[in-house]
Amino acid sequence: MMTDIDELDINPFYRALQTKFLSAYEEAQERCYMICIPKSSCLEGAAISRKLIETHILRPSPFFKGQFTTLKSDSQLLVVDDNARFISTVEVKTNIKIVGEELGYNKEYKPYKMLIVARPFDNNLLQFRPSENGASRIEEMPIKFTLDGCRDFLHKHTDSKLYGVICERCGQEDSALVTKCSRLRGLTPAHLSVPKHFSLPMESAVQEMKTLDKLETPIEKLYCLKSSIDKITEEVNTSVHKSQSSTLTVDEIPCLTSDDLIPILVTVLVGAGCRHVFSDLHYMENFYWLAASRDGDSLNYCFVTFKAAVLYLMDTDFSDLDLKTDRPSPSTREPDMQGSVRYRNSEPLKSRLDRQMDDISRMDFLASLQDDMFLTSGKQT
Amino acid sequence: MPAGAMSGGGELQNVKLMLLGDQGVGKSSIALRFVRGEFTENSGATAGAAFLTQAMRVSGQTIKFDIWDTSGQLRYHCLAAMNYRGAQAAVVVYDITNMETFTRAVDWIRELKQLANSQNVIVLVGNKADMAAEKRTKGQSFAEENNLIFTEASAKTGITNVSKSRHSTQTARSKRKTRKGF
Ligand SMILES: Nc1nc2c(ncn2[C@@H]2O[C@H](COP(=O)(O)OP(=O)(O)O)[C@@H](O)[C@H]2O)c(=O)[nH]1
Ligand SMILES: [Mg+2]
Repeated sequence: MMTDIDELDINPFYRALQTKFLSAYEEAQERCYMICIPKSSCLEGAAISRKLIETHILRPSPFFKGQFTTLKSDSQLLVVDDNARFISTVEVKTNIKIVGEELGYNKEYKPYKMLIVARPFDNNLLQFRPSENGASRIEEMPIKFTLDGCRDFLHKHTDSKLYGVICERCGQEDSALVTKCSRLRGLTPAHLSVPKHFSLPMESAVQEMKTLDKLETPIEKLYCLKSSIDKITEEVNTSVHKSQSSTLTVDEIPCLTSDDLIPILVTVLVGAGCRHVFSDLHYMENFYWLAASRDGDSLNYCFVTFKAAVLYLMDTDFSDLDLKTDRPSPSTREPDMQGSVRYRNSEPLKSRLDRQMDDISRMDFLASLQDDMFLTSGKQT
Repeated sequence: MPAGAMSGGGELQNVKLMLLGDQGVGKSSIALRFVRGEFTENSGATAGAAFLTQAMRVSGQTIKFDIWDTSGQLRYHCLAAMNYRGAQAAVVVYDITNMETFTRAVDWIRELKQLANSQNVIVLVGNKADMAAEKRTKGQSFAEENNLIFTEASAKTGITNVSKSRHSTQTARSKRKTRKGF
């Protein structure tokens, strides 16, 4: 696979193996251990530590096929799926996607496997260097603040328990959204005044978005948003290429912009009908900084755009919309486009919903969550 | 030397650049210019022109721009912190034929300065320069008073001015050490 060769050329983990941690690499080669290489995009800005390296070199279990322990510790158990599509970490119960595979040969010409995986087995092993030249970034302070306060706490609890508590707290909003989505079945981008050439069924994006419910960690959920948005882009590009005549100049070929992406995402949300959208938002927003979310900047962009779509969906009264036809609501067809459905002309405004979201995202949300968690764990034991 | 910091012999630097400004001033058109214009080589457009990355070499340094076009993302105040997080450069756009959008641009800049670290770069762009008979001076003098980089541009007729505004961002970054805040 071409992409994997390119990937290894630029992969900081792989480079560290060949230089700083050469002895570990040589040991792995000699004994034909399996080396799992987190893909470059999730390592951006991270320092590669010995611990990270040793956690990703896997020794096959002498007893069970498909089971591995790490070079770092005999007790860290991993299972590689038969079709080699996932690696599961037994302790924290997550599935990590295998995105590529390479065979290498050692000095005795025995093969060893290198798997390129979607993310590190444990994101807490990544330490990010402060950005060079001291250019500090807006808004990093609050993140550090929460990080220090909550990391210990979070380590004591499993993701699923935490998620359960969030779902309990956001239950009302979640079910309101489910109801709204089912009422809006059949909503197309055209209803929201997206230009005709972008108003497509978006089936593959809907299917992708549907997996959101099943995913467990915040980072997996984030990647799901990103792939849904990627699918939207693909659908648009495919359709544009099919339907445009070759006489158009580059400037005339339609190109998806931010203005169209959000309403399209709204229709994808409606189509997918996910059951915990609001909970997922909070889960991702409050906890994904524990994970390595440096997939360029695009994960952040996808999250903000997704959140804007969810807020828009919650906040908009679609009652004047005629879902049987493919036309935008009457108000959106007015020349000044100040209809309730179209947000194009709206200014940043602090709505009731907005204030609610502000409240809920503040730190006391985390603090009260912590109380809830302890209560829940108390009940169970 | 930490692993991953080298790229083609130069330091790799990530810059998140946001396009801000009122609805209709031409942010998306500027983003489209990046996608379609001379910057298309090696550009990665994640979602059309909504989010794109663009690597450029500037005086021996490779700078990777993550360019965020914004629209509905700005509608909700609660998204502001998320939007601005990590942003090192903002291009605030107004429409030179519509002074209301200039007032809004000034608001954006005020908000940015509250949030921003003094190291961040703000570029003020007076867009739709093709529509004006004579050159306006309002943006220029505001920019001078407030220590911003200013340029007039037209997303419609050409990219030269727009690319200049981007170039200024880089130049400003390299000049930053000698400059004191905004
Ligand atoms: N004449 C002229 N029109 C422009 C220019 N830039 C954008 N426009 C037009 O202004 C309108 C709004 O542009 P758009 O990029 O969607 O603005 P946004 O809302 O800020 O993203 C569109 O009709 C564009 O064609 C420009 O430089 N000159
Ligand atoms: Mg726009």
